[in-house]
Amino acid sequence: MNSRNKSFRFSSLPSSTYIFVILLVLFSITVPNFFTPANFSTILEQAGVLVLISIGASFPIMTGGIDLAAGSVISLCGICMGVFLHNGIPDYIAVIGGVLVGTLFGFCNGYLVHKIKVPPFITTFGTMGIAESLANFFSDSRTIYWKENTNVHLIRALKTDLLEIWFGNGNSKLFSISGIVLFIFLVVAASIFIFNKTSWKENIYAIGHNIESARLCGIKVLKFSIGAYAISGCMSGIAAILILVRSNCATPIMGSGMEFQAIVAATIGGNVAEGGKGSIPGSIIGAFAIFIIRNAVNYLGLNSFVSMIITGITLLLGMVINELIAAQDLRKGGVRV
Amino acid sequence: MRNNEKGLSWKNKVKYTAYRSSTIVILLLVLAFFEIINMVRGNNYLTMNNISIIINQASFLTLVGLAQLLVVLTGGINLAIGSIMVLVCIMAGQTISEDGNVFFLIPVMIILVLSSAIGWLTGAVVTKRRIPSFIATFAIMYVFRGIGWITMGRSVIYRINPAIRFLAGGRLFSFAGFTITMPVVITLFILLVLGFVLKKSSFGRQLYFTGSNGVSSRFSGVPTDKIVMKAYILSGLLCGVSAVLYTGRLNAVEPSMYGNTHFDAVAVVLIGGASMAGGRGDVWSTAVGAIIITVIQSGMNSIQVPSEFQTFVLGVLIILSVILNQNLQKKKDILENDTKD
Repeated sequence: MNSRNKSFRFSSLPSSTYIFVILLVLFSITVPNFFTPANFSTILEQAGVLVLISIGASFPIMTGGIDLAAGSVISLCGICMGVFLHNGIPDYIAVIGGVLVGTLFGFCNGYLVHKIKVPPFITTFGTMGIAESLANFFSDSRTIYWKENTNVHLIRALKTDLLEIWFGNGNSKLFSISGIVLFIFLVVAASIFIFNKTSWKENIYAIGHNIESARLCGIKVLKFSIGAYAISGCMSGIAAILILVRSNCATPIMGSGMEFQAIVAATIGGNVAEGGKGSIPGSIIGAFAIFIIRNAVNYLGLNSFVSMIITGITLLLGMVINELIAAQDLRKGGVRV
Repeated sequence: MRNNEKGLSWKNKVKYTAYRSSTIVILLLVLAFFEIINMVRGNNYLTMNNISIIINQASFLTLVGLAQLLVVLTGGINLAIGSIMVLVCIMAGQTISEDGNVFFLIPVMIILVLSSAIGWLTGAVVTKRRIPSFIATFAIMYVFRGIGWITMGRSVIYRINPAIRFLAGGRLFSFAGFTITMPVVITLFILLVLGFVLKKSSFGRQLYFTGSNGVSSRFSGVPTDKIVMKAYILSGLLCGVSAVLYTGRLNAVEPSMYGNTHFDAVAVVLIGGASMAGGRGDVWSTAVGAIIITVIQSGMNSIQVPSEFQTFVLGVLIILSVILNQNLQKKKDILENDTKD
């Protein structure tokens, strides 16, 4: 729709862009060492987990549901991969196995929500407890380590720096792209491509607007609505890989609380809880907006609770700004998508 | 609703009553489940003493459930319950401790007024700014918990005023092993008042109407924003009441407390048959929902389920009971429609 419309409209940007730009400018001015190449490479690398699960969270939200289990599924997938690696299974099999576990879990969520018609909030609330206790069971409530041997080629490859650009002298002037960043970029590109260039977008929007009329229009409702939850589970699995690569261990609480940050990121990105609209780039920028708050508060050396307060206020401000821009656009005769 | 019963045969009447009180059916099933397992192991689960403990514990859960129910009835959700409870206690500060040496009604009034004010603030954000309640209350939860951590740091307020502790755990009288405690009386009183307000007052009817269809109720002249606002204020007030009771029970205030209370509250409300879409659910079913969760938890302790598996069983049972509840509700609706024709 946007390609046909030549004139630039503010509302055609993902709605989280404004709050992200405001935060970026604010932190660049006030926080020392924030606006440096080294910090940007850190942000790119560390925000990846949040970016991926925000993408995952936006799919169920767009169908009018919610996935509260995402955080616990990260823990479960991570523990599965950790157990595989601990037993000396080659890492590519371990990683694929973990992602499959996540996808299967997401599929079960979708099946319960759309086939057995349990409300999404209660389904994913229940499966959250199930995933949590499975993660505790498989790991015996302990942290899982593995030996550095020939089986972990892939993990080592993801850790290496692929590209280093020096913008001057000093450590802060180094911009580096590691394997993780490339991997995140590929996953993000693939998900945007699948969502925008195939029939997923239209079908998911239709389901989110009105599932009954979507079914009467001949959309395979079950395929797409269960698929949305499966994608969310799959993204949790991929996010678990990133945490494993960075921390070299798996803990049964590694993903707890993540689901809320992801839902928040998706919501400032324009994915509203009623479903039927939203975008993937919006969620990604929303995730970055939330992550740079934490990053900047760390640089200021403040208590992490300050970042909670700032995140909360940002969230409210972001929603108000979204509302104002939508109203402005409506007044100019634009169409509210 | 009562009129629909008239055209039914005797057999259908029994069915209809069972469908109507679906949460009680679930409660009986859960009780039977744990009683049978305990009997096989040679224990007795349903002793008078145990039942009174369960009811006492459930009364706390009922209060947060009611705080959640009021918001759920409007079609929203209140994720800030736990953080409101902590923040008001922190703001009451030393007055609630024994060392403060003030009459217990002063801190209680401070807590109730503050929590209603916070409820008003939440309602204002939701109605005036049109921010979805999930996001608004989530943001408020983050802000309040952050403020709580910054003001308290790692310190703890302990040794709560004995009068407040009596409100939270005082035994009034016991009869054949069945003890009636203060929180049970308080919760019962609130249940009666709130049940009356929701079912009989015009505010209650308008609240149900607003929740089930906001647009049509606005067009029929219901001041929806005011109603939603009142629901949030009442919800805040109930958070204050639960803050007093929970704090008295734990005998301490510490900023990380009640981290999952909002989730417990949602589970209570949904097991009690309310719908997240709004306009469905009532106070007595919520109380039964709280009892169901308490029975599941204490039952799992009685048959010694390891703590890692307790969340597993709780998750499975919550999903199962909601499925059962939905089926019973659906059958009830079918039975109702049959008699109309």
